[in-house]
Amino acid sequence: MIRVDRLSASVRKTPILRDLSFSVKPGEFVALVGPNGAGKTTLLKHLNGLMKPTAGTVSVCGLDTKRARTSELARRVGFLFQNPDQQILCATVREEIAFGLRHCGIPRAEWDGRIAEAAARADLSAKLDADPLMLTRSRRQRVALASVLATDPEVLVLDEPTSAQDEAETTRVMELARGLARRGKAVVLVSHDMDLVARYADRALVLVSGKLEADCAPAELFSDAGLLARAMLSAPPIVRLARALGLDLPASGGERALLVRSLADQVAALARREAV
Amino acid sequence: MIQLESVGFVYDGQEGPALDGVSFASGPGRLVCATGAECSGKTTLFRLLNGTAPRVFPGTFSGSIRVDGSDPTERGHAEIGAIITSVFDDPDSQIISLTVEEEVAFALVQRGLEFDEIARRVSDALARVGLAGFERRHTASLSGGQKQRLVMASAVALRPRILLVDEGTSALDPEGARRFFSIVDDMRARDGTTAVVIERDLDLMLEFADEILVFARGRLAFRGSPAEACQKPSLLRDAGLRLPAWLELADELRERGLLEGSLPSSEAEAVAAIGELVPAGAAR
Amino acid sequence: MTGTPFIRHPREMAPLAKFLAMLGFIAAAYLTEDLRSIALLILIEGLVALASGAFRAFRLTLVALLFGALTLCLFQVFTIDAGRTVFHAIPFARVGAVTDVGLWSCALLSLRMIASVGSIPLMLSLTSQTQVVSLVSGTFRLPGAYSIMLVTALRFIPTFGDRMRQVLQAEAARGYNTETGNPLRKVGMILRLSLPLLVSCARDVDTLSLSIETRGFDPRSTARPRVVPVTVGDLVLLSLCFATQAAAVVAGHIL
Repeated sequence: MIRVDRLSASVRKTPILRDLSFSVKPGEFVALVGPNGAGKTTLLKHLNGLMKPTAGTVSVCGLDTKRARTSELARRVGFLFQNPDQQILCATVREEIAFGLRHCGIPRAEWDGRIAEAAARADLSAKLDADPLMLTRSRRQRVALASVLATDPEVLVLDEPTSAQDEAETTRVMELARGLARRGKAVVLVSHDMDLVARYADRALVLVSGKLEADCAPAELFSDAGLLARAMLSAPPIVRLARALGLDLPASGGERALLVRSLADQVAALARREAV
Repeated sequence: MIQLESVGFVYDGQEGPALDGVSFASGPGRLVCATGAECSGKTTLFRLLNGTAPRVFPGTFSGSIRVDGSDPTERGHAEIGAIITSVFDDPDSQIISLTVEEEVAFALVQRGLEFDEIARRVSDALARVGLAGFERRHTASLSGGQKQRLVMASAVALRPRILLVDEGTSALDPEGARRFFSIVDDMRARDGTTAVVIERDLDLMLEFADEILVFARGRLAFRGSPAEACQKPSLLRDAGLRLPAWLELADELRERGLLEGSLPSSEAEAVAAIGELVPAGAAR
Repeated sequence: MTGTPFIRHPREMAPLAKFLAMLGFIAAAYLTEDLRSIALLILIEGLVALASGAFRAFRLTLVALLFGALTLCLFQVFTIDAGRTVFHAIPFARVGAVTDVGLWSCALLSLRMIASVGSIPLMLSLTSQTQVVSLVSGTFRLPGAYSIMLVTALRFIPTFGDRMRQVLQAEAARGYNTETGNPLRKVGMILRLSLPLLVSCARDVDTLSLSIETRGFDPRSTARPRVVPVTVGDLVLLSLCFATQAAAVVAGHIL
């Protein structure tokens, strides 16, 4: 679904991305991690044609981003920006969600249904006639999310979706993303929250100074101290805790509560053995 | 330094109270963290303390509030700005100048300080936030974390009696967030500043706060030290906070009857306590 | 103070001196009708910009003002009937007469605009914010609100381009077709997206003003910023500036 082949990109003559190659298949949930300034946001912008490669190719859903227009790619790539206010244009939430539908050429007859569904999934059904700018920050984030979901993109890109969110909001966004992945869409997440990466991502792409340092499962990343150091990342707290206690964590990640329970089960088992 | 007694506030045009019967007091040189779910009242507290409510955010105020002897609701935010400095979450909407040194100097120039004194305070403030040597840099060329540190530098230069922060770390990465709190802590230690910080990161709160306030639906649901806050994991969860992994595990183990006594209040304590349950060889 | 040079770099000069120099350029541009004099004034400004390291900004200003002047001229030139007709805008229909007086007065208008208005950004680029505030609130003793307005404008205008770009990107990502060669469509698009741009600026201005006020700027306080003193060296440079401006004006009369 996404194929990046020897991508290099420069911004104002400064090379930001160097010779990147990777691909993302439908149904995969990929996390893009790395230190600040590594080029993560730049790479994201190449996925929907906001930036064009200086060398190499990026192809998304079969379209070459160098040749296709951003508006064409937008039909297939849903982009959730870090700052929802950048996107909000319209006077009501309903119009805001319809904005994407209009410009992606979705037939008018389908709009009402799609708006209702997207609003329901983003828990905004009661706010369809409200002015998005008057809503609280997390609701505005949900408006942006609903507007992206309504167009049913093949690829969902999330740029730091969790700044200034409480835990419940964060979980909502991530669960929606995971739901999309399960339905065969590709999800690309940029986040500095390693806990989320561990719980949701199937793969981690580690970007350091514009180069792809690693492409592996999150569990592998978190057990490689050298890689973590190079990428200026640290393992999620629950992984560190498990290590400190000498316990194992299931490699496939999962719900936090389950992980905690798994650790508690191990402690309980070891304590019983000790008592015996 | 800060005294609230039965403080209540209802915004104009809204039905329910944003704050209801809130009382607490805090002395000088304390770092108080306020947290809670959205619309729980913490932002309203912020606005009352810095005098923007009810003047800028109209509503009905009840109770009494005193900050360093003055009532901010009466004096208004501009007047009380002499002793209270507020820092918001988005650095781009707080930075007014084109260069770093001008930004830090701005409020000092307004106050009519001598230029020599201004230059001294500017370089001192920049050094304290880790931006030494950045004087001539253009503010537009700074990263998000550096911009927020710049905002803090201008706060440091003012040496306020009271510092109010509204989610100052929300746009920062974990390293930047920690650095932010170290700066606040430094102001507390060196200048005796009392800081009231609205925050969502429980790890940082447990590490740096002297006192934690948890708001829920306009009321003060909890007030106490970090160690005391750790004894109330469900209250913290209800406030929309992410609990540290060690606290979750300790709580789970206590539910199962494997841990007794009070819950740990730091990772080290937790590892030590849980480690005792686990056979000697297993814990590395 | 040992170590401070007698003749300071324009950036370090007292803002009052720079302000007076700027007034000198504006006055000189209107004290003469000789096109060569005014062109000479623009040249002097360019030299000042070059010598002070502000040439890049000055060049941009020149280009912008040139466009502005030409646009004005397009309207102006057709309203002047006096003098000998040089050519017609639409030859075969003999419509839109352009006379020599018309051309000359447009040239005068343009050059005057460039010389006078061009001196303002030149002066601003050499004056730090602290100096601006000191000048407006300290020397001129205007209410603090004026210096805030000026400073805020100086702060926001450079960010319009970035903000607009951000908004355009966000909309392109949602399918809004921003790539169009049609200039009319492009203008229409920018106008339509100006609303979120203005909203974003207005929101920021709100927080900005709160942030300034809660950082100790009290519009009603009596504290005044210090005045940057004008040194003898500054006076020497200023006199030199006035002399060259006067020479340009006089040269036009003599030659």
